[in-house]
Amino acid sequence: MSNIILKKDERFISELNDALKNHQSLTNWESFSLLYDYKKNTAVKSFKELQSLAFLPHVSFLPHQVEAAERVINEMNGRAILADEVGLGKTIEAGLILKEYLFRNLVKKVLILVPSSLVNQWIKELHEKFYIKTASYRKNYRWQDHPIIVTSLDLAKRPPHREEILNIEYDLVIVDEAHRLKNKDTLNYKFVRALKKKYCLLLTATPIQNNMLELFNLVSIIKPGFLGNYASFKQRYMKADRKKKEQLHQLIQHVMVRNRRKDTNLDDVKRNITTIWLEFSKEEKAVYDKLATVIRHMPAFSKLTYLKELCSSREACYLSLQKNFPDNETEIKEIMDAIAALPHHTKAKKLVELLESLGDEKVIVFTQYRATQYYLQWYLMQHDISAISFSGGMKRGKKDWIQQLFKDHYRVLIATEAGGEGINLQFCSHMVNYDLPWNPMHIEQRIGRIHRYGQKNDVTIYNLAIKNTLEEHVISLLYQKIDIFEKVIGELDDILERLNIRDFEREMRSIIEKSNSEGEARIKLGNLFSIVEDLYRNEGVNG
Amino acid sequence: MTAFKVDQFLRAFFQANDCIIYEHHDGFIDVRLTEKLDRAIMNRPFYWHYVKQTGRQGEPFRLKLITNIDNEAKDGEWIHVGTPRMNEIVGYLEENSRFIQQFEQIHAAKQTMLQPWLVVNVMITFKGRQMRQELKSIGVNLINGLFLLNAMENLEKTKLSSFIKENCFTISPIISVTSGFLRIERKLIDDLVDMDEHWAIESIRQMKDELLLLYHFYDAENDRGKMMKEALEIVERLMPKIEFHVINGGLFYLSESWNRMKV
Repeated sequence: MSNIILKKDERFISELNDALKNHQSLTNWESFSLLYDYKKNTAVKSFKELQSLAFLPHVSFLPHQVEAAERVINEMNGRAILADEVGLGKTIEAGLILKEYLFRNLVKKVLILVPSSLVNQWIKELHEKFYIKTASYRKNYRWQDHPIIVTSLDLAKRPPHREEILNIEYDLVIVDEAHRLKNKDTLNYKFVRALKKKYCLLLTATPIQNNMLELFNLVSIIKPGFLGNYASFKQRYMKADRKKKEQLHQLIQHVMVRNRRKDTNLDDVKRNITTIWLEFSKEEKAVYDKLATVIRHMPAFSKLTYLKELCSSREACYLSLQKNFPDNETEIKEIMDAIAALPHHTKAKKLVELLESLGDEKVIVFTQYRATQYYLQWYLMQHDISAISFSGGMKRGKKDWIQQLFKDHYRVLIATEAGGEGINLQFCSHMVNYDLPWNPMHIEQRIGRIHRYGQKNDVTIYNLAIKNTLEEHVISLLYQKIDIFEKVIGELDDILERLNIRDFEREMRSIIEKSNSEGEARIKLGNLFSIVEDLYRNEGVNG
Repeated sequence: MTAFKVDQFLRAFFQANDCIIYEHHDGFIDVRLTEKLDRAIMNRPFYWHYVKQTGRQGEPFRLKLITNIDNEAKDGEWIHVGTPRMNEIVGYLEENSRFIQQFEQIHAAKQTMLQPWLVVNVMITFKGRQMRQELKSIGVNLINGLFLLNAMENLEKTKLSSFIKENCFTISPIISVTSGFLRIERKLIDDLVDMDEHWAIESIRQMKDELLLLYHFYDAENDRGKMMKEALEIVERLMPKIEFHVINGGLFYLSESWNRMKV
């Protein structure tokens, strides 16, 4: 008891005496007991309880979500990075924090900045799960008018909105997909930094995607000066030993909540991964080899791009050749004609077969190329499979609409990479990687669309890959060696960071570009992956 | 804990404040406010200013509130905990329901004595790394000093009114209201001795850890002032505290039978 401070209520008794003496401000029994009942109901009964939970009985929150909200409110004073892995419910955590602050009447004016494809979903989720009414920004509307606005960062940072918004004192600012704020020289960053805000939540699944300085930048939005200034931080931590890094790690814990899949029972939903190996038809193989010869003198990276494209679809490769060689050099013209004359793609045929074997199950198909996307939609239609396309450039309303159409009327959703960010398709548990991106982060983003909070079935992922092509290398190196599908993305993040690799894709590119032959590239990449693999193994032993 | 029912709370609130309820069913409530309540929760001072200036009566607002998400199609205002209107209502209730004086209503053939009791409802907040609250309702007899625990729960079964019933009379307190209040406070503190102190010990341990880390972080930098500021913030946040906050309270004149209540 000696260490505990006791604060009594010094005001009440004199005020009661006044009220009794003057016979004023006396209430009736109904109001008196109503207030008592209300307080009894809303008291925080155990150390592990948020007040607003009692009002949201229709949502079953996961323990890590409630804990995250509690930590942010009780320990971090409402300024935090919510960095759960993809699909663990960062939005839910942010919503819960918002609700709790609204309930405690600590927050009135709120700005929620999200990718434009997510605006409607945020509004819907806040309303249905948390009974919070929000508005999205509309023309002829003033930012001051509605207490809680959900809008896109891209819109908010542009004049004339920018000036108006920067003049408002917000009680809470929430930024979703906050990894877009990692560079302190960008407009995005400067804008969010300049917002007047009492509380602030930054949501990102990949907080240390590249390096420590980026993390420093994020923390500087939440708590300026918490990690010292830019120069001293750089000096202290960029080349820091393990002990110093450990200290830094502890410090970060005070501003960041990071739940991992393996720590939650979301792991109950399993990922089944099947790689389906295909062989090019004779004609296709001939064209593939010829293409490799024709473009052999080009820079390594664009060479690889064309080959990758041909592994995806005739259309993708053709269009990109057409775009880059408008002059129609004879050699190029010939190979383009050969591509155009090819029959339907081996992968497309396999996809139809696969879809037919899956009965009525809804399936999302990911491709990196718009041309492939259009081709597939057309090709599936020819086989009476209803398919709808989804891509990054679409307007928000259209995206919502397509998501709904897919849910209600279509069997297959064909999405490109950019379309992947910010759609939630828990109702679908099958995914096809029609072609594979080289950046493992992108794969995790893709899988996260269906393997996320709310998914009730095990998730099945099919990779389509063609033997004796570039894809075989990608699969065998990236996906089998690192075992990316099984690993938790956070681990990979840590490891890349420890290897001082800023950007995995760029690292791979540079290896390929600097190699004189494919063989050399393969050996170098192999070495890179072995290191990563070793680190994983060590992690496994130590941790 | 049973889920708090927003619409039941609202109905009770409007009834307690003499409003006319036109309609109330599953998640929808249609109510005519009183002028007093209109002024308090509707935030339209100009309306009332204008009405009074032109010498008219004015008409209090007819408020239609929706508490169930399925009723959204209806014409009305969405309300739930945390919405501005709900916060206004709770704020009004907190501000205006703090003090009370009540008399037990008993049918008495002969002159019956009512004894004064001070009843207070105190929210005790335990604040450390995390927070926990306990609402205590406790009464003290201002004649003989007897305590009554769970006072509100007991009073709920009793017929009460702001007016004394005929044939009843009150006797003046021997213990003053202020001394009664101090006795209650003393009792609450004494009861705390038996509490589990684990939460406080945990909190102090974390406070030490965080302070150490802070010193470590700043050791190389000459930013003493900033460090002190942050250290104070840590102490403020993690030093275990117990806070008493009186929600409401007042005098209850009760028959002698209350002296025999088991406490």
